[in-house]
Amino acid sequence: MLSVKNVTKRYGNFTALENIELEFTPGVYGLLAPNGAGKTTLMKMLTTLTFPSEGEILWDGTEIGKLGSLYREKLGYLPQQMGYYPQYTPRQYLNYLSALKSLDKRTAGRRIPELLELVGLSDVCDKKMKKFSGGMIQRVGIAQALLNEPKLLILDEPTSGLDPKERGRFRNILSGLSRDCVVILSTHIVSDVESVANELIFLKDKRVFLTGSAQELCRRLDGTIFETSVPDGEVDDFERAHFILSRRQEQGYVSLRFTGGEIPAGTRAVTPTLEDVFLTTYR
Amino acid sequence: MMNRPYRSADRTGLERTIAQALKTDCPPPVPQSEIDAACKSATAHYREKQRIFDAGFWRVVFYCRSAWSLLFWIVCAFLLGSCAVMPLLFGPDGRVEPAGIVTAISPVPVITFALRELRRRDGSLADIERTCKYTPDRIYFARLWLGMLLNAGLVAVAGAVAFSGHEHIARLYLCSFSAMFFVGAAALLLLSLTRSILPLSIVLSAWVVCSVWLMSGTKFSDMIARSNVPFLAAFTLLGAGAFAAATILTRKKLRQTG
Amino acid sequence: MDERELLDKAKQGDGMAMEALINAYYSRVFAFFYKNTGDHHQSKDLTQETFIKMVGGISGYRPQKPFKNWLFTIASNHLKNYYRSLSRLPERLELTEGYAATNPELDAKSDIAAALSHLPPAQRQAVILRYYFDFPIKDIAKITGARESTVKARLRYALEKLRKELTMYDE
Repeated sequence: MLSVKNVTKRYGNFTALENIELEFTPGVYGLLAPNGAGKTTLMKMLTTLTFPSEGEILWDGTEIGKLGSLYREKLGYLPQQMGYYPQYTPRQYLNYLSALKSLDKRTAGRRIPELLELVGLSDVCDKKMKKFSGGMIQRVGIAQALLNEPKLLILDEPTSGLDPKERGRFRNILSGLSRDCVVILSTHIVSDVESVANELIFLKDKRVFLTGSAQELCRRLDGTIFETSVPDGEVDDFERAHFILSRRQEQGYVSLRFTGGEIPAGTRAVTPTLEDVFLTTYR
Repeated sequence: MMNRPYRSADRTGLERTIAQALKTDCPPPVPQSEIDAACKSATAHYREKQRIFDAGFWRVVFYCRSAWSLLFWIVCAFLLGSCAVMPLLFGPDGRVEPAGIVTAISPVPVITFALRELRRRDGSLADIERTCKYTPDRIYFARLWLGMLLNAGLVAVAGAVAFSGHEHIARLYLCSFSAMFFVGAAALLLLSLTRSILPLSIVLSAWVVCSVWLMSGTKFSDMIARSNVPFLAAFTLLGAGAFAAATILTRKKLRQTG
Repeated sequence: MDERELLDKAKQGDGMAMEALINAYYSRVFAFFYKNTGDHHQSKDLTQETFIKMVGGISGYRPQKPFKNWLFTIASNHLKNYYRSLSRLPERLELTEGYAATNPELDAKSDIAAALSHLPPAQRQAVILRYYFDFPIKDIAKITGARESTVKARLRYALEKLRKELTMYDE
C-alpha cells in the first residue's frame, strides 16, 4: 500500500538518506537505527513534512504529494517532539485536533473518550496538560495519532519518556490496532519492537541495511553469538579480542556475551536476539 | 479536404494492414481490481475538490484557537470609534484631526490579530497540525483575509463618523485603506520572515511617529486636499496587492515550517 | 443509463456516475498510453493521472464536444508533459526519440509495436489515434493541438516509415 521508491534526501551538500526502497503492507514495522541515522528524516518524508530530493513515495500507486489532504486524512503521526498547548486539557486538545482532522462532532464525541480510556488518561481528561509528566504527554500524543482511525500510523520514538509499565501498555495498544493499518514506528530501543513488529528495518550509512522479521534477522547470526565467564582480571584482554554485546558482573568474574575473534574453549553458542543484531549492525 | 465522416473503405491497403496489426496487438489486460482502485482514487479526488465550501474547514477557521473572540473585535471597534469621536469633543479647533487618527490607527486591528494568530502557535505542535487534513497554512491564510475584511469594515464605520463634514471623504477613505493594507503587509512580512518581534516594533514605532507628525496641525488635511483620487485608488489597489503577496508568503512559510 | 446521463450526473457530483465513466474508458486510455510508451507500469500511472485530471476538470466539460475527444485531449496533453519531463533527465533523453534503445520489454513486442517505437512521438501518437482509435483527422488535430495539415503530414511520414519497416505489399 505504501511504497518508497528509490528515495534520496539531501540537505544542501549533506545526504541524509540514499536510495531507500521499501514496501509497506498492513502490519507493524519497526524502523531501527541509532540517533542521527535518518529515521526522523524518513518519517518526515512519509508524513509529507518534507519531500524527497529524488525518488517518490506512493500510496496505492499515487504519489503522496499529489494526494495531499486525501493522504493526510488517512495518516496518524506522533513526532519525536510531541507538541501541545499547556493550557489545554487532553479533551480540549483532542477536540482541537479532531477538528483539524475533519472528524465530525459525533465521531469525535465517541472517539475521544475511547482513546483516553485506551491510553489510561480518562481520570485526568479535564486537567491542564501543563501539569502532566512526560509519559502522560506522550500518551496524549498516541491518542491524537489514533483519532482519525488512520490507515497509516507513523510514530517517531513513541516510547521515549515512558516507563516500563507505560511501554508495556503501548505495546498492547499496538497489537490491538486494526488489521488494515500500516504502523511504522522508529526507535533505538530494540525491546519496544521485537515483540510487536512483523518486520524490522535497519538503516545504516544512509541506506536500508537489513529488513526481515525478528526471527529471520536473528537466524542470520546463528552460531556467531557466544557467552562465557571471564575472571575479573582478564576482562580487558578479552574485550580487546572480541566484540562485547553485554556484560554481567558476578562474584569474582564477569559473564560476557560476545561475537567475533577466537572462540575460547568452554564457551557456548547462544540463540541470537534482536539486541545482538542491533549491536552487531552498529558496532 | 471535406469534413465527411470517416469510412474505413477509404483506406489504402497499407493503412488497413497497419490498422489491423494495431488492433490485433492488444495491450496487456489490467485486472478489474486495479481499475476499481483507480476509480476510487480519482473520484475521491473529485469529492475533495468539490468541497471548497467545506463546512469542516470553516469550522476550524472560525472556532479553533482563533482570535475571533467578540471581545477582541469589540475592543478594536471601541478603539477606532473613540479615536474618531474624541477629537470631535475638543471642537473644530482641536489640534488633532479625527480623520488623521483613524487613518493612523486603521492597521492596528489586523496587526494585533495577525500577531496573536501567528505567535501563539507551538512549533512542535505545528508538525502534527501540518499532517492533519486542514493544514495551518490554509487556515491562517483564510483567517488573515477575514481579519483584514473585518478591519476594513471597522474602518469604514469609524470613517463614517470621523470623515463626516470633510470635503474629500473618498480620499480619506482611500488613504485609510492604503495605510491599512501597506502597514498590514509590512507587519505580516516581518512576522513571517523573522522570529524576533523587534523589526515589527521598529516599523510600528516609525508608523506611529510619522502619523503623529502627520496628524498635528493641518498637514494631513492639506495633503489630502492636494492628492488625486485615481492616484489614491491605484495606491490602495497596490496596497491590497502587497497584502495579498504578504499573505501568500506567510502561507508558504507556514507550509514549510509550520 | 447512457453516457449523456452519466455525464450529467457526474458533473453534478455523483461519484458513482464518475466511477462508471472511468470504468468505461479505462482500458481505452490505458491502451493509448501503452501503445505510445510501451511501458506497462508507466501507462497505468499515466492513466490514473489522466482520470484524476478528468475528474478535476469535469465541471469544465461542455456536452457540445464528444466526451471521448475531451478525455483524449487530456490524455494527449498528459503524454506531452510526460515526454517533457523525460527530456529534462539527460540520461533518458533517447526515450523521447523512440524507446527502442532502452526499453527492455521491447524484445517481447510485436513487429508493429517495434516499428511504432522507432517513430518520433508525435507521429506515433497520430498513427495510434488514427488507426487504432479511428479518430478522424479533424479530431486528431483538436486532440493533439496541431493543425490538420500537420496531422496529415505526420501520418504520411509515419506510414512511409512503417511501410519500410514492416514487410508490406504496395497498395
